[in-house]
Amino acid sequence: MDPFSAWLEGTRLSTVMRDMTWLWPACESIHFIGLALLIGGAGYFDLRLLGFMRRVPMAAAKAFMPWAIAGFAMNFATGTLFFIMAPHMCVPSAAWWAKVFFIVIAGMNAMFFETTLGTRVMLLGPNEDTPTSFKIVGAVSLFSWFAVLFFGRMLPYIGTGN
Amino acid sequence: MFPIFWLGFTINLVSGVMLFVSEAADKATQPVFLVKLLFVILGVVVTARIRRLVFGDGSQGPFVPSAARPLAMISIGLWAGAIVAGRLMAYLK
Repeated sequence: MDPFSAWLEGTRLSTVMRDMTWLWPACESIHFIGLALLIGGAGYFDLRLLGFMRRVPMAAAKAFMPWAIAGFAMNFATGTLFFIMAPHMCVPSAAWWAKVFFIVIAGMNAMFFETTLGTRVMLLGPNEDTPTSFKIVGAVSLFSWFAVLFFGRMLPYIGTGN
Repeated sequence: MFPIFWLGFTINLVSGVMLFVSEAADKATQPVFLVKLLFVILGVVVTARIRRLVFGDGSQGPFVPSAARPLAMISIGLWAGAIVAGRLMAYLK
């Protein structure tokens, strides 16, 4: 095991949390509900950005975003607990680093959208097609979040340091 | 939205059946698997009821029938229950 993981797993916090055998499955359940909220909410808005469901006004599609953000917060919190309990499944794992990479991509994409294109979104009327810039943002977001899901699910299977 | 729902449901049904046939002897007797199955079946029934209730009369009015609201809450509870039961299958033997 790498020195960092060995140190973190040896800490009292990590040990106490691992000893609570219900904590890991409980966090996994919350993590999966959080991912449903995140991809359900953000994915819906991404599809609208891509030009699907044009009958739905942009502002209405965006109303799901607080649920997506709540899902992200749930997953960030439970993900941090997973990391503290079992860093050896993360630090040496190529799948984990790929997951983190795509979280950063999705986050930067969302930040770019909010700071540059976001204000133009609400001006779009119903049944109007979206500009190419919106479509690119929507596609990058949708792809990145599914990549995050995929590499998370692959954590036990590919690139583990075990 | 319903085509996306059925697309996602079909993907999970097909991959779920494949996972099941690879480990059927264990799973068929696992109580929490049967709980998940029950949640999924009830989830589909409730989702279909909501669809009939909201879109069944062919009108596309802006108002949702008040009976749809409790059904929507039940639907969220059932699908969240299916997720939790599915996840716990790895732990409760």
